[in-house]
Amino acid sequence: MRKTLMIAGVSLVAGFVSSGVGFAQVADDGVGQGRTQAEVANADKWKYDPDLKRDPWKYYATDVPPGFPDGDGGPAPKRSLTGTWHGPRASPGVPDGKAGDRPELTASAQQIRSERKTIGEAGPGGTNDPYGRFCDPFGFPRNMYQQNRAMQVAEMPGRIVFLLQHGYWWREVWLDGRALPTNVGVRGGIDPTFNGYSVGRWEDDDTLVIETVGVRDDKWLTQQGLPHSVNARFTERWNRIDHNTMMMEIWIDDPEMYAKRFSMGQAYFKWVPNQKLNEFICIPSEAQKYLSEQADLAGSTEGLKSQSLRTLPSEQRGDGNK
Amino acid sequence: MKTVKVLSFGLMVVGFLLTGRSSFAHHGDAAYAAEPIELKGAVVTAYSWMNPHSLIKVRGADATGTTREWTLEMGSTPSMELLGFSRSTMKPGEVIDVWLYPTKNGTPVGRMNKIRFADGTQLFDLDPTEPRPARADFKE
Repeated sequence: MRKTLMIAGVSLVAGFVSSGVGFAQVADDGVGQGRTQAEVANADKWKYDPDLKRDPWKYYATDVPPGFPDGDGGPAPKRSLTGTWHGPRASPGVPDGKAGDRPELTASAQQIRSERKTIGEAGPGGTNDPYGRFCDPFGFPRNMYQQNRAMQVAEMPGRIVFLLQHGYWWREVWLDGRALPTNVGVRGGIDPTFNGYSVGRWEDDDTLVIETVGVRDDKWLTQQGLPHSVNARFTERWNRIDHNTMMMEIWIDDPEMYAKRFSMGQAYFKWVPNQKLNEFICIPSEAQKYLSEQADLAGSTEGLKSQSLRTLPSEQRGDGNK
Repeated sequence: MKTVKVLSFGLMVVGFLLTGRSSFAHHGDAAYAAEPIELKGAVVTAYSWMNPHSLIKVRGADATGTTREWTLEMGSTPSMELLGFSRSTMKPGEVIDVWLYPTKNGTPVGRMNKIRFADGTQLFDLDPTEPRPARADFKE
């Protein structure tokens, strides 16, 4: 009996030590605390590296800090857009995408367009673009193209969210298998919104396809003043080309405004090496300050020859660029 | 007549190519004369780092000796950051030489083109898609 108790005691101690070692192992690698090996490995990849000798709080639009992956960064992770990305023209490293198709406007669309004065035609002092005058939200899909210099993509169970740098606007896409709503704008249904209602599915390991309906029609489709109806349907394709590159293209199908479906163009996104963005918000009070102290005094540019004083050859700039 | 106007406008619109290329500039510069003027020894009276465009106010004399307070626009904050600007680039009271494109309508507002600070460093307003000036040219 005594021998039995001794064996039991030794076993208990051994078991305790053993389980203690085991616990230490779990604490080290995180597995067993609700995380898989893959998730733990992924977490290590995101861990801050003090040897990078760059300010971790600063956005580096053009510099690639030593130690960060350059080039394509290797193969893309499967079924993931997660991360922080430079948007179109945010830095020289982001290539231009293919331009959009030529739209064929219906009479209704032409009527609406004829009433709009774009910032390109009239300048900020003469435009009636709600963004140009008030910094109103672009809404989808304009917010995915114009001024989308950078954004973050985050995934959570059943959803993916796009966190846009400009205005801290964000949109969500449901990947849980639900169908698009059919009751937008009807009594007792749901209202159209700036970003509409989006569902997505992975077509393959690198391609996410998103469908969107229910987008408000009181905003502009593009900065060129093109309209869309509340019944417009958008198809969006995200292609993860490699670890550091992805490309987006959006098509609009809107028979009320356009004779046929067309592409709004491609936009490339490049991986931000230290994953930190800067702030880019246009707030109403500052927009009004800009208009009252500058743009409205400069006046409308309707009828004036368009030009950019930032792209003229240096010899035409006088002393301004010597 | 209205129909003709709408249709012709529609044709013009159809002529537009939609673009997937994001417009970097908020707008063009048609409001401004293409020849810059220089204000030497201008005093910064206000500096507003903001969007859609930051503003610099300076009081200075042009080549004719006329002293006025000018308001100068720059690009948006992220585009100016690419050119070396930040919220702390300048302060009221600072003396600078500044080159600007004045409005065509004569109001004392313009587009900033270049700034030279008292220590000789310079900052430019260039299209960010153009090659960036040498880092040594920038006020760090």
